[in-house]
Amino acid sequence: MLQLLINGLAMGAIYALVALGIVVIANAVNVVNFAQGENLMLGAFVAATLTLTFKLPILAAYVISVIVLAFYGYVFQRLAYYPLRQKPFITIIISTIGVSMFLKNIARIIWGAQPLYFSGLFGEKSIMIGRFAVNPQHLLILGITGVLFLFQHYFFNRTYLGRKMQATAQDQEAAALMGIKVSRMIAFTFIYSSMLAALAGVLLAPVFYVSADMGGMLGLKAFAASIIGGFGSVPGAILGGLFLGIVEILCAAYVSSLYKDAFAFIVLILVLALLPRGLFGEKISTKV
Amino acid sequence: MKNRVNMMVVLFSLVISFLAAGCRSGSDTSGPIRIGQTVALTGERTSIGEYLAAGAKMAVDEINAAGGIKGRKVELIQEDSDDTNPAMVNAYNKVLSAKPVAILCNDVSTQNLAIAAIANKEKMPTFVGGTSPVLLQGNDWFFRFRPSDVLAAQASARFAVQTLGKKKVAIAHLTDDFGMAGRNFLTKYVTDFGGTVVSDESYNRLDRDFTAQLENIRKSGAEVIINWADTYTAATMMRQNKQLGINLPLIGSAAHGTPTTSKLAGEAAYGVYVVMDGVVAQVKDPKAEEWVKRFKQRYNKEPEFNATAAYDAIFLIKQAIENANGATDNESIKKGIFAIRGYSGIANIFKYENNGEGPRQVVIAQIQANGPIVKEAVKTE
Repeated sequence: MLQLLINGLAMGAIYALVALGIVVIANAVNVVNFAQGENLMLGAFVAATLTLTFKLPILAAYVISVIVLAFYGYVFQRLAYYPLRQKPFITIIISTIGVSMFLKNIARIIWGAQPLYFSGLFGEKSIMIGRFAVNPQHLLILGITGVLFLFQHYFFNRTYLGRKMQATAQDQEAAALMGIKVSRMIAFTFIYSSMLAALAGVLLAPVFYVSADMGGMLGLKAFAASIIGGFGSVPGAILGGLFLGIVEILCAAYVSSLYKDAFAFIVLILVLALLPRGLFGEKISTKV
Repeated sequence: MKNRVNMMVVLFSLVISFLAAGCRSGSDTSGPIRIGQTVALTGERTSIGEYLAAGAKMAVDEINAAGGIKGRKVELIQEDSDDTNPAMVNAYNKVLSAKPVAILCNDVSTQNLAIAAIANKEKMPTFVGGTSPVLLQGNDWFFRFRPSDVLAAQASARFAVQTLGKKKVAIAHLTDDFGMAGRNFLTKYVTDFGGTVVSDESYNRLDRDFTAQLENIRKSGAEVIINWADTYTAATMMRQNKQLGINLPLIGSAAHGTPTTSKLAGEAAYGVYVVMDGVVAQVKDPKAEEWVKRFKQRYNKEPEFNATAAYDAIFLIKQAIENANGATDNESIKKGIFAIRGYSGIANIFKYENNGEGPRQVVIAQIQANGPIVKEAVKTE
């Protein structure tokens, strides 16, 4: 049982990382970025190439991948979001779906059809605690998610830049009236979200193997996780992700492994039906 | 003016019909022989699709270099079946429109079944790479070029219970047609050979965490795991079996032995047993050794059984046409295939007799650092 919890938490932390990236953009520009799974894939491939082809140490590959995706995030928002920013949000969502398809196929063209593998930061051997095996990569994932939670809380609430970004997320017009350069804040939001995706991708690479399709199901489940946690809520995204990871693995172990994927979405449906604002969501109020 | 337009229309139609008459199909007695292939060129399974496409292309080029089939050149028409049933159906239909004499389909049983109705309706000789036992039920135009899972399941079950002596067996499998049919036959054969199935766990093909399944297997007291998986799930099972400290002996389906899976699983693959079509690198046969050299030279990578199987399939079609004295209509080709009673492919033996069960051999190999080493070869009559 403990083994299940450990691994479920780790998987949940990945969902949480990806969900964070989705929520941050959704808050800022009211758009769900359906390409988040593919951004993750891109980060993983960059790190894989750095490690396997250029023989860089794994930590360096992680860091450089995150930086590369930061630049990519800027380009992404410039091409896929900025020209459409006045259009209805459904148009922008479709644009992100388009980017997701584009990325999947360009990845296949650049890196070929064969999946790649490179080991986690601490190697491949599990740490045995009595009977229980703990994969050091899982510990790393949990650790980084925890640090990120604290960092985000500090950054968005205590720093000037963070508060400007929050203001933009709450009300773009008012923020602009306050002298905040809204387009720059939006750019930062996309950059931050892409860096989160890269982080998730590199951490996940040894578990999921790096392939063009690694992001698809993950992006969907992370989206479900963010809704379960309360769409728009940052602690909600993290707790929703962890919750989903644990529920999934427990259902797979004790109910039926045949329907493991179904459980994630059954939980989503239950939450939407019984508690539509999610675990931490704000009351839905309409602006008059 | 009207007369002139009429004349133009008549002339135009005449020209078109001459051109159309010239472009007749492969069931002609002249012109190129077209063979179709639906294979994953995009999508999740491209890592296998690449090998299937490579093996077939190499075969076609070699046949043409040697003068073709009965003097006619062979044309290979490849269409992308992506990794979904609708894409497979589209690809098959596209290939059909080029009027080939036979079509090679990819290795995914579910997708092969998706086009079964079309193959039956068009009476198109179709070589299927899927291994599910249900493929040939009611599909008279399906012919295997990879051994049926009945053979693979029987060989693995016997190896687990009798050769390894492990009576308590856990079966882990995919939830698709391949995995479910595999599980059914494994259960039957494990019991037949004197073992008991103490655990039955499944996973989806996108699942990358088998903690739940492996914990249940551990609790069941199983002594060996037989795993029916594809590339990614095979690698995941091999890794987590070691990572979670379960360390049970593992017998895996063919996907466990491909170079791609070995790269993903790394050292976790060492010691794992694989039931596969054949290990071409292990065949002590100059023909096979030469073939491996040619493949490596041409494609700059190690071959695996999908490439060998597709290569053999093309040559089987050639043999069938030669058996039919050059006739390429579908009935003649079918008779020609049934006349194949002992064709030695690169890594398998083929005998068709009166149904599509052609390939007659599987091997159990153990993965070592330098590749799979064959432990047993299992043949049926």
